[in-house]
Amino acid sequence: MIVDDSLAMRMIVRKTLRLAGFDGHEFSEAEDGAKALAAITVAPPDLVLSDWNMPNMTGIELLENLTKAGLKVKFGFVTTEATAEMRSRAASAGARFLISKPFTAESFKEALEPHLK
Amino acid sequence: MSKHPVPDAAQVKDLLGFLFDGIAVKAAPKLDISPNSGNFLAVYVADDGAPVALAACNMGFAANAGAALSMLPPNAAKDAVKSKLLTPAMNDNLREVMNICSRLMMRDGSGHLRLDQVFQSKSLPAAAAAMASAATGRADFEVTLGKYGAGALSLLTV
Repeated sequence: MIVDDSLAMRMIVRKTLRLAGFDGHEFSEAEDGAKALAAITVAPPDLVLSDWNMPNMTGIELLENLTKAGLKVKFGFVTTEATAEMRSRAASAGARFLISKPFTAESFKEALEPHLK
Repeated sequence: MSKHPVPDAAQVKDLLGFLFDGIAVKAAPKLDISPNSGNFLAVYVADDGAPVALAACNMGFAANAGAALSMLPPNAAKDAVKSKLLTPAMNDNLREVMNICSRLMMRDGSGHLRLDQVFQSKSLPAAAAAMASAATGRADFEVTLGKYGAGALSLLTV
């Protein structure tokens, strides 16, 4: 599942996933953390790829809420800017990876391959 | 020397190619960004809020990109150009595209910038207009989006 409030960014992430060789997977999308949480509660995806800053519920809040609800879903971040503090908070909350720059098919492949069989 | 880089046609094609099929990009004459031009101007600010870059486009690019992102029919873009009015969906999509264009003016080592607002030329705030006059980097392109047709996109940085 791709979670991002920008339609254009969701399109870019989807296309990058295809270029990285994950075109055999089905992709769903949500435009903020709250909508993603509702959808994941009904049908958990194999992996969630989420932006950090979003209205209604941010990516990190989504991850924390999933943990609180006892929903164990593989979770990673895709964000344009990543500080050391964000990386540390993401790892503490249980994120598997955080992709920032470079934002390429190679960086996607390297980050996702261990988690998507 | 500009602090924020401006891209070449290949870099614009690579990035916008993620959003649009059948895209072609080539260098073009300077786009008029004066207040009465009626063109659109996206203002990008640094972390301290100061304007440091602009992306300008004409109605053709705005309507084509605004329609193509949501796969609206090409005629919707043509109607917008004719009436000189973007639909609300095209406006939202233009902002999305301009937001993505911020990446064209950042490289390793250059400062961070983010999209602030998209204006029509006559509403451009004074600080952004002053930035445009002081721009040291500039690149102008003709961008053709498959069946939607061609429009003009320019990037200016300080």
